[in-house]
This record gives sequence, structure tokens and C-alpha cells, in this order.
Amino acid sequence: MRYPPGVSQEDFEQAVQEFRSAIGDEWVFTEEADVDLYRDAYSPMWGEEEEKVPSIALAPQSAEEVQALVRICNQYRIPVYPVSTGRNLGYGGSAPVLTGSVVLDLKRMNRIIEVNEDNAYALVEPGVSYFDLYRYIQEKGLKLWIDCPDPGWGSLIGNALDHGCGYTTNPYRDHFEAHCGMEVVLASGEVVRTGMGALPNSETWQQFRWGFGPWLDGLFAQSNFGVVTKMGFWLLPAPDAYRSGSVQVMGYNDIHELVKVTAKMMYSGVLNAGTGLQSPMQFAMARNPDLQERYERANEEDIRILDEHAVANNTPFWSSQFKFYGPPAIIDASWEYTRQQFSHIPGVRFVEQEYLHFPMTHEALMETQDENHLGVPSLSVFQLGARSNFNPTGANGHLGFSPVIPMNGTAVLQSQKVLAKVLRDMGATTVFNVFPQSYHQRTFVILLGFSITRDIEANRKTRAIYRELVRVAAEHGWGEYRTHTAFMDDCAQAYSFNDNALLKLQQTLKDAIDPNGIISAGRYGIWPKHLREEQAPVPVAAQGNENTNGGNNA
Amino acid sequence: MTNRREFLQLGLTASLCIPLPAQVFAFTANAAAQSVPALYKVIHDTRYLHSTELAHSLRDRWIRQSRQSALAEIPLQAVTGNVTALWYGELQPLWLKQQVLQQQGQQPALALAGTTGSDVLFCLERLAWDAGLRVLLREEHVQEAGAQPQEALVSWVIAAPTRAA
Repeated sequence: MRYPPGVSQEDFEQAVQEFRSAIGDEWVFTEEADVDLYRDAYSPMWGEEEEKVPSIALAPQSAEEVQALVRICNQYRIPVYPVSTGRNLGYGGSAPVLTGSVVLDLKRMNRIIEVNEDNAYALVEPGVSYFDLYRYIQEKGLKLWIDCPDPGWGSLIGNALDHGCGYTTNPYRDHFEAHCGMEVVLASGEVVRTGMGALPNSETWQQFRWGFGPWLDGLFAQSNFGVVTKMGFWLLPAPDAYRSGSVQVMGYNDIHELVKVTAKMMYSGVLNAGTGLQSPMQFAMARNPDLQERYERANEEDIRILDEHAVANNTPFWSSQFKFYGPPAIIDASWEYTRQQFSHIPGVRFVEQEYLHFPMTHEALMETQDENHLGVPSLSVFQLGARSNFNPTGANGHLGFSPVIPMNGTAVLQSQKVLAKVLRDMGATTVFNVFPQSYHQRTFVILLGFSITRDIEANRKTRAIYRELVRVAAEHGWGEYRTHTAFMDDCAQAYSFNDNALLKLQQTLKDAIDPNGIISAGRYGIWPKHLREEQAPVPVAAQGNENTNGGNNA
Repeated sequence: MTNRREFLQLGLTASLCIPLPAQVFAFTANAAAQSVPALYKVIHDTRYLHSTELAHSLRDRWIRQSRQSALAEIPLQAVTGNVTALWYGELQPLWLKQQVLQQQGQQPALALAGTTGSDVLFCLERLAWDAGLRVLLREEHVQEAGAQPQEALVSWVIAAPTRAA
């Protein structure tokens, strides 16, 4: 059995006995074969000394059991790392930031406590997955939709707390934005309810998120201030219909007008669903190094030649997909309005894609172009890593670099150039390079994906590239919205305004709420007082190559 | 040097002769001396040329060793990389039901086998963990470097692990 750092063997063994009394022998996992299941399958440090691994795992079934376990951990100062289902692969999975932490696996807490059809909300526990809630709604025939990420096997609570996103419409597609009310177990073992949940007998816990006084819910997302044991979510009333279409423009410089109009439609509420930019020309550029070079240099002559190539090959330079959910009369009017808004761009094309009327059976939904966009959970995304002629080496996972950039054409072009230079200079290849997506309402996120393999040297190189991307992006004012546990210090350090004042405030709060620093040490760069110096991250500006400051004191 | 086809044939022939590991047939603590878990179905992956024949081979080996009646219907089911329908439509309800029965000491969980891409097994393995099941057999079918089309198949069996009684 591995032991947590800073805890004597005697204390830990005593604590394990107390864990067994609190939740039963069966749910205290100390054998290597069981604890190994909590390794991060997508770890970029797989098989290295730096890989983050737990000591043991505990699987409570109720908030009361969580309280009991946290109290024991607090008494013996044992680091504990709660995971909802532990399936946020690419972001650390169920492995702790601090090696030797005790994983608190909340998967058995899988009750759907309430789904209210008339007021369109759900109250769930952390072990409830998107599949679970979807099945519940289907079986009961409720006229509600969920919004799910891909893949859909993860926890609603876990995904929302990590600022995950989905594909339907506002406000549901930003999963933290769609939540309303939490129940949290603090490090002391005390239970707190936020918003209207603090009012005994309140009937609006899942309807009015602000409650009275300071709103604290944000403290429990991307952090380590408590263990969330219940959370409410707003759900989308099942729409009558859905339609999608794309707007395509032919010229390199048309990106500016395409994004400007898109942003205006989004801010005014005409466009509520996520969108993004694609470049059909990128396929031509991928096959033609001369075009690629011209795209990256992009002087006047280069742009003229690129534009000529686009027209000659009937290939739009840019396109955006727009999706509309609602009554047919309204979504038809929205699409017509969209066409009007872009019609002044010379050569613009409008391509109608899918038009669906609901309700549809689950089987029929699975036959649509992308079931995720219709609130249907799926596991199809895992096919991307399969070994094939397209991907001859296969992969053991991926890692996403995802900086937030402004929603304008200039930022898109600049970020493409800047990040491409880093990749080229460091000899990097990506498994996916996604043009900006509007996962959130007013910005774009770029996604660069890297393969994770079982090749230690390849993974080390990937980590070095990732850290360089964080550094260079930060120089341009682009920060990550979310990251793998291996890079949380790097990304947190990049938010360095006024000598890292924000991180210092977060540390102050951490010390006050969790004075023994037992919960999720190091998560999102927030280290407890007793580990802060030991784990002291090197400021991003001084990095550039591999460093192992991500929370491992093994 | 054998070509890829011959190589796979050799692998197939070999796998027909090699017994499945004992742990695959280990009796569960609850059902000691009662029976080997029956095979529910065998999954093959239509993306790969040789998946079906290897899945047939796996099923034959199971029947031979487990003495599960060859006449018993052990269906082969195709997936195309995406296990969503299999999981949502069949396995999740089945495994939930089995968990309840096992907790009552009534019967060992049915085994699930397959010859698929590793991505399919990756998903099913993690989902199986939550139902108290484990991958008890994992056989990779290697091929010559540079072979076309690229295939990386794995034969597997998911069943309840043996625990000390």
C-alpha cells in the first residue's frame, strides 16, 4: 500500500480502519489491482516517476459518508482527492494532482434526486452521468433535453465544476453557467448549501441561483475548497425543431466580416448555439506546402494567390456552422435573418444542412449527423484515437491545449500564426488542430490536440511543447480555460497580473476554508500552505522546457 | 518472411490451439464449483478485415474450454468503433441487473468477449469496472510493420474477477 505524503504509517493505518468503519470494508480500496484503476489513462507522465498516482481509494454512498470520511482525513491531515466519476480524460481523470492522495470516488452517489419538467431543472449527485440523466428522462417521457459534452459517460457535476461545455444552446451549453444551487461538504465535514438552498424549506433552490449575499458557487469550480455532493442544473425544454446551415466565404480577409457578424448575432441573442470557424482551404494547404507557407506569411501577394486558389478550386476559405433550436417559425426566421446579415459579403454561400422535427426516437436521433448536438450522449469520440491508415500509430489518449482568444478575425489569424510557429520550431505534430470554437458565449477557444502514448520520451517532448505554448500564448494575452492536472501550475501562473494577486487571494481563501489543506492539493494551481513552498511553481516566464512542479512530491 | 495475411493466419491457427488463461474460467467466490460464467455475446469490429474470423475463433475456444454448449446461441455482434448503442441499449441495463443479482449471491455475471480495435475495449473496460467486472483476457494481434491496411486488433474477455473467498 502506498502512503500519503506527510502522514505517518501508523496514522494512515489507523485512518484506514476508521474509513472501513465509516463506509464498510467493501468500499475501501487498498489493493494495488483496485487502486490502479484510478490511474490517469491519458497521463502524459505514464510510467514515469512523476506520474500522479493515489494511495488508496474510498467510495462513499452518501453526503453523510463523505462528511465522515473528510472528518477522518482532516483529523489525520490526509490529502484527499474527490472525483465525481473520474472520467474527465484529457484533464487528469481520477488521478490526483498530489501523488499519494486518497481518491474519494463519488460514483456510487448516483441518485437523480429530482427532475422537474415544468420548471425544467434537475438536482443530482456527483455519480450521475449524462447517460444516466438522459435515460431517466427518456424512460419517464419527460419533454426535456440535457446538454452533454463528448463523451457523455462523465458526471454532470464533474464536468460543470471543470467548466466543461456542450453543443446545444445558451445557457445550457456552458455547464457551469447552467447550474443552479450546490450542496458542498467542507474540509471540516460541515455541509453548506448555496443560493436558495441556504433557506430551509426553500422551493426555489434550483431556480434562483443568487440567494442572498455573496454568491460563492464559483469558489467550488476549478478549485479545491470543498466536495460538491449535490448540484442543480437547468434543462432545455425539448424544442419542436432543429435546423443547421453553414455560411461560407471565399476570401482570406472575409474572416473579419464573417466573425464580426457572427459575434453580433451571438451577443444579440439571435444565435444561441455554439458555433465556430472552419477553413475548407486548410485541407488544400495541408497537401500543398507552398500554400501553407503563404498562409503563414500572408503578405498581400500571398493572400492574392491563396484567394485565387480558393476561387479556382471552388473551395471556401472560411465557413461557420449555425444551429437553431425552437419552433419552426422562429428557427426559419432566424436562418433567414442569418442569410440577410451575411449577404453583403461578396461570393457568400449558404448551405442548408439538417432540419429535424421532434420528438424523435432514440434510434432515429442516433442516425442524425451529430447526436451530441441534439442532447444525446455518445461515446463515438473515442474512435478518433484508433489505429488506422489515417492514424497509423494510434494513441493512448490525447491532451488538449485550449487558449481563449477574442472573437474577432484578427485574433484568429494572429493566434494561428503564433501557435503554428511554436509547433514548427519545436518539431511538433498535432492530432487535431481545431479552428476557433465558441464554447462560451463571447470568446473563441482554440483546440490543439496532442497524442499521449506509452513512449516516455515522446510524452516528455509533448510536455515541453505544451509548456512552451502556455508561455507564448500568455505573452499574447491568451490563457487556458481548462487544462490537464499536469499543467495546472503552469496555467495558473500565467494569470499573473499584479504579482499573481489572484492566485494569492485564492491561497488566502484556501487557508481559511481548508486550513489543513486536505482537499485536492494543487488543483488548478492552488496549493495548501504546508505544501506551497515545497511545490513552489517556477514562474511561467522562466520556463520553456520540462519541469516537474505539477504537484508530485513522490 | 510471411506476408500479413499469412501472419494473421498463423496467429489465428495458434490462437485456436492455445487455451484461454485459467483466470478466465476461475470460479467466482459466490458460485464456487457451480459453473463458469456463460458467454453473453462476442463483439467484432467491422472496421477491421480480420475481426470477424478472430472473434469466431475466440468464441470457439470459449465453447471448447468452458463446455458451454456449442448449440447454445452465443451471438456475434458487430460494432463499428462506436460502442454507444451497445452500451446504452444493452450493457448498462444488463450489468446493472447482474450487479444486483451478484450482490444477492445468485449467479455469476455473464462474460462478454470480443475482437475489436483497442478503442472499443478502452471504453468497455472502463464501463465494466463500474459493474465490478474486469478484463480477464487481453490478446493483441500484431502485424508486420508497414502492413496495409493498418490493423491493431485485440481479443478480450470481460467477466467477474476471482476474489479470495
